[in-house]
Amino acid sequence: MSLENAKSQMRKGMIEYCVLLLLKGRAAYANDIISQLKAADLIVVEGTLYPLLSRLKNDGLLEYEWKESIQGPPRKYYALTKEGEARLAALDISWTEFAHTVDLLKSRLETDGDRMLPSL
Amino acid sequence: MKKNITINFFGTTYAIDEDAYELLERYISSISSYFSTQEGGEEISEDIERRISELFSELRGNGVESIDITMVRDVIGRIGQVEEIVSDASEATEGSGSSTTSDGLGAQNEQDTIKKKLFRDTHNGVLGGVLSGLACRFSGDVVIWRLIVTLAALATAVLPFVLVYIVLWIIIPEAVTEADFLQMKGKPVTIDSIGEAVIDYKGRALKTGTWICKGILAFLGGLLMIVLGVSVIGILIVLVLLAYGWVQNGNMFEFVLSDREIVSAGATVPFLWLMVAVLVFLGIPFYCILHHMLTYFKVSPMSIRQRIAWMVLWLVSLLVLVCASVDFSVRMEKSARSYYTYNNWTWAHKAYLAGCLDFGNDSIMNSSRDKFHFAKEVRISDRNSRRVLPGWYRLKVGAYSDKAVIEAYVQTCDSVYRSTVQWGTSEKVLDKEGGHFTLCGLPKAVVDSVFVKAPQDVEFGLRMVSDTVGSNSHKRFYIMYFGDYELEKLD
Repeated sequence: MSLENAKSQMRKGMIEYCVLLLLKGRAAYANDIISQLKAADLIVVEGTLYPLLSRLKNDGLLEYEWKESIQGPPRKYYALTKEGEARLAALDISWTEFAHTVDLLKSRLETDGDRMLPSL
Repeated sequence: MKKNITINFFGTTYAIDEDAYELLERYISSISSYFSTQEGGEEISEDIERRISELFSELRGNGVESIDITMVRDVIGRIGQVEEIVSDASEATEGSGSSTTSDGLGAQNEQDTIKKKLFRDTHNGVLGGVLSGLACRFSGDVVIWRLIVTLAALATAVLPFVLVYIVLWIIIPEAVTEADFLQMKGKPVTIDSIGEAVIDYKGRALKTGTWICKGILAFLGGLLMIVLGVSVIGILIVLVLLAYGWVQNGNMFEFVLSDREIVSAGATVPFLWLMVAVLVFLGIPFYCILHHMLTYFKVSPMSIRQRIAWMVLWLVSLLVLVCASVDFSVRMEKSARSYYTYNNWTWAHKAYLAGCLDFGNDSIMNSSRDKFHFAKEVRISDRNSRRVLPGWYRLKVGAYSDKAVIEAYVQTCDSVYRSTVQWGTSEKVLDKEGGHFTLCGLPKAVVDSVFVKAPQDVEFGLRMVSDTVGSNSHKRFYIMYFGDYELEKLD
């Protein structure tokens, strides 16, 4: 598996969490979400987002309302639902755990050097 | 110089070059075609279109007056050229649209080992694309497949191969959307590759041969539908009649056509099951053809499981029908009274008997124009000894003789029924017309037992019997006239 594919897999794992993060506390249009995800290098291509948003909405984690816009047709304005917030909180915890695991492994490698990796 | 047209995106109009429009249109339709197989897919396609519209608005905001093809390419590049869209979409639904699987950390590389699905390749196929589809799924050149199969069929028996081919044609679904074709060939299903497939396909004209085949099939299909439809309606009516008791259930059943005609039949399978089997036998093809026609109107085609299920059911009904043997007979009954009416007689047979006389071993001792002398019993009958259906008949024959007994008979396997006339008798069974005896009585051969169980045909004949057989010259008799005989059937 090439590096690009490995990174792509990692991104895919994180994307749902990041979308929920972005919507924490504030609602946003789809293109806002896109530009922030792009800035964070999490999506390469905008089309990725739409199936994802649709799925999150179907799972009840997101909801949207139509908002009129000055130029052009009305746009969808996304916000977290109660379940979405609960899921976000759970993912926060999971993320901390994962990060901790990685940090732990990295620090042990630095201190132990040539010795065998301990099992976790 | 390029042609420019105006498009309408959610209420906003944009000016766009024609070639840019073609590309955009292909892209959008490939997206909707891909997502249409998923639940909620329409919403996703619509969201993507809105995004495109937004991007166009931005361009316009930056002073662009008309969209050209490079801009469309840019937009397509921004929105969708990555497998990530597909694998995200596959996590969202249980749709069969995706050809890749990602299982988190142990994910397989999407570039290799994509599982191919079996479809009928209707673009490359000659008849139904069965062999093309098989070649795609199991690798190999279509031409080789065709050669081997054709030679094998010719070398052994053709019919089994044809039957198997037809079964495969019915069972294997045809590739319809671009996504189908990609999965058939084992290529990754991405927006990009869908777009390529669309361009590739539109660039080719369909062969005329295919159109002709489709035309013929459509016509035959239509005819078949009409026949099946009428039959199915007929069976349903019969079933309704059954429910109302106009038709009896059981192994022996009768239809009453009028007060004189009864159709009766016996089957090894009770009537109800027989009708149900016929209904299934006719109804399944009717439904399947109907469904196939509806697929042209956006109804999705049947899955392999459904097809196999219908086919099995149909074969079961065929088995039932094969096993149910039916004896069928039509019997005519007639009340005693109408025997005496002279209406409704129709000619069943007319013959000019004088030309058909069989003299047997005796010579004619003397004959002039219409005179015959016989010394012994001679049987006179029509050369084509008449076989007729059971029913009421009236036999007419003209004969003139002295002392001869002329007998008309109807013979069944059991008995001979006859009426006789004797010259000079006072018993007037007959009518006498101008010197002739006209036999006008009808032997009571046609009795009830003939209708159902006895042989269904009877033999009519005429016989001349001398009351003095084989003796001296006094006992000759003459027949002066022996004319036509007519057999009339009571309608």
